[in-house]
Amino acid sequence: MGSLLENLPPHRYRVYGLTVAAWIPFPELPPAPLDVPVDAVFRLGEVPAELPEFKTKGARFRAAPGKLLVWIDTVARYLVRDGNEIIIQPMPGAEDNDLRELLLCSPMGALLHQRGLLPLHASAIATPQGAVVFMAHSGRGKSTLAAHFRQRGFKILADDVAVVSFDATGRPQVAPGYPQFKLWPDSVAELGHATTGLRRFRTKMEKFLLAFPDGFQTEPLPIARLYVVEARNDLDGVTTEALSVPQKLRYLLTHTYRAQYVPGLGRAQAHFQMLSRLAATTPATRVSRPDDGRFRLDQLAEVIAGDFTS
Amino acid sequence: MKGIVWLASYPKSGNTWFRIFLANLLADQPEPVDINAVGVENFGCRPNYDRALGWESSDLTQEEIFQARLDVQEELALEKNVLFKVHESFRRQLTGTPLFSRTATRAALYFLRNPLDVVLSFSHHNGKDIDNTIARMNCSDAMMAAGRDALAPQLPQPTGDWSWHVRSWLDEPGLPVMALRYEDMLARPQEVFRAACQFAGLPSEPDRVARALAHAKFENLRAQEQARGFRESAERRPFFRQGKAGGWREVLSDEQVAAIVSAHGEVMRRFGYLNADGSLPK
Repeated sequence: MGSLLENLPPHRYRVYGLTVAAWIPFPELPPAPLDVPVDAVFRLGEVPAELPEFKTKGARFRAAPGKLLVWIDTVARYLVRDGNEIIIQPMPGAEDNDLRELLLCSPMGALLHQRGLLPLHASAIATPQGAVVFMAHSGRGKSTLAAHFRQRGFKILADDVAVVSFDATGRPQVAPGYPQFKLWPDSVAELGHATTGLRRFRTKMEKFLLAFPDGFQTEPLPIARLYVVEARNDLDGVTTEALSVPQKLRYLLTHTYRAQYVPGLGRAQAHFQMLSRLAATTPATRVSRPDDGRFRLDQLAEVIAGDFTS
Repeated sequence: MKGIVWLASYPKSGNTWFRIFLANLLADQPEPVDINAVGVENFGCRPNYDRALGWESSDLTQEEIFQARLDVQEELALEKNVLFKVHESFRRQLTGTPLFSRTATRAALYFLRNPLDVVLSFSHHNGKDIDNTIARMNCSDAMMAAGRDALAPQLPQPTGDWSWHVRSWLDEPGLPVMALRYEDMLARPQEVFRAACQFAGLPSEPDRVARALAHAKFENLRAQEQARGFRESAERRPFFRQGKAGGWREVLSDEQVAAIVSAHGEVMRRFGYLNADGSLPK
């Protein structure tokens, strides 16, 4: 840790319950004071093109215990080490916006796994009952649904990645992410906004960022309920179904953010234990809507709110 | 056996029928497999792609996704008995760049169907009129799941025009590919499906093939869809509609036929959809 904490980069933020020091400003993250101990560092440096000791790999990643190399050819290589450091080597011509936004995706997911946390591919809202988590595949409406609950006056814990940990009593809780939704134009329109004036997630993508500084839940919350959100084309309306423990486990495995890194990082057993604890203690419901391109936000929200308040 | 077997076709050319047959063949059970539980997925389904990639494709630009495509296939090819349905052309028509890795490929089955019937079926599937569908089949830039304003559940899939699609797969030098005409699958199912299984290294015992074919009969598929729906239908229009050849004769106008024949006559002639003198078979 000695070398890590020397020459700390100048910018400080809070994200997923961690204080991070970054080499450039991250306007999407809530700032943190300079005198707070730092948990993790984002800094520029040389990143090797290969990780010779890798245990598992994919088309754009290599994983080894304590180390993850992940890259996008035209943007950057990221090396994530020991849960407290992400080293970034930008490719020529890469824009800061892309370096930053991509860092908060896969590299951040690896860092969270390395720290023994459980990142879910999910959004999470704060309710009087506790945190309510929406797990879904990309494009299935988890961000849109959370943004809709925001419009209904609920505070938001996280969009896209919801980080679960266990408090001192073993109760599962969700840590605050950062106050920004990533939304496609159809979702922006569905929420009654225009994309005009919204910042783009990536310079060359039609995916927009909707910040919600006022609606952000800044303290962790115990989890009240998990939802799996699906679209199916054999349905006429919105349906709900309580999930059994084995079903919960299967969905938690499917919707673990960057689950493909876990075995190579040497965290398979610890990860499975967390999923088992979460599945054993937390009720979960599958919510399905017809797959016909309509969000049915009001109807979904009514059904879900009726469920988590019951 | 390692390496991917591609079930490749232009849309609405018998690919799904073969996949359901295959699910029944592999399950080898006394009862038909549920049409909504067919294991072989489209390569463009994001969850598979993202798992092998290590990123969420919804966070990447279309260009970044295309750049990683062959590497993703080579990762998936390391797993055992991998089959994927695909609607992309083998090479992208606009650029000539390959969309499939030869290293990752064990074999390809290529399904093709008279484009005059494809027009009917495709226009019904998409809920678009015939002329719109003809324009799409004649368009070198055509792309499935291109979604710009919304995230499509599948990755963008360039098809190119119909003739390009056929030739890109069947004329790719050295590619281990077998062509299967939909019309032959209908006319001589046992022989054609069995030959395809043998080519792709799949189980091909005659009784087993016959049983899987019986379970995948058109009437059974339509009955299952009517009773419980089919997850691959678009906006709940029936997916299993007619399952026959030659329906175009009752629907297409002379102008519509001419628009297809003038764009695709050469490939149609090669596969018996047009006589040598350019006339339409009776």
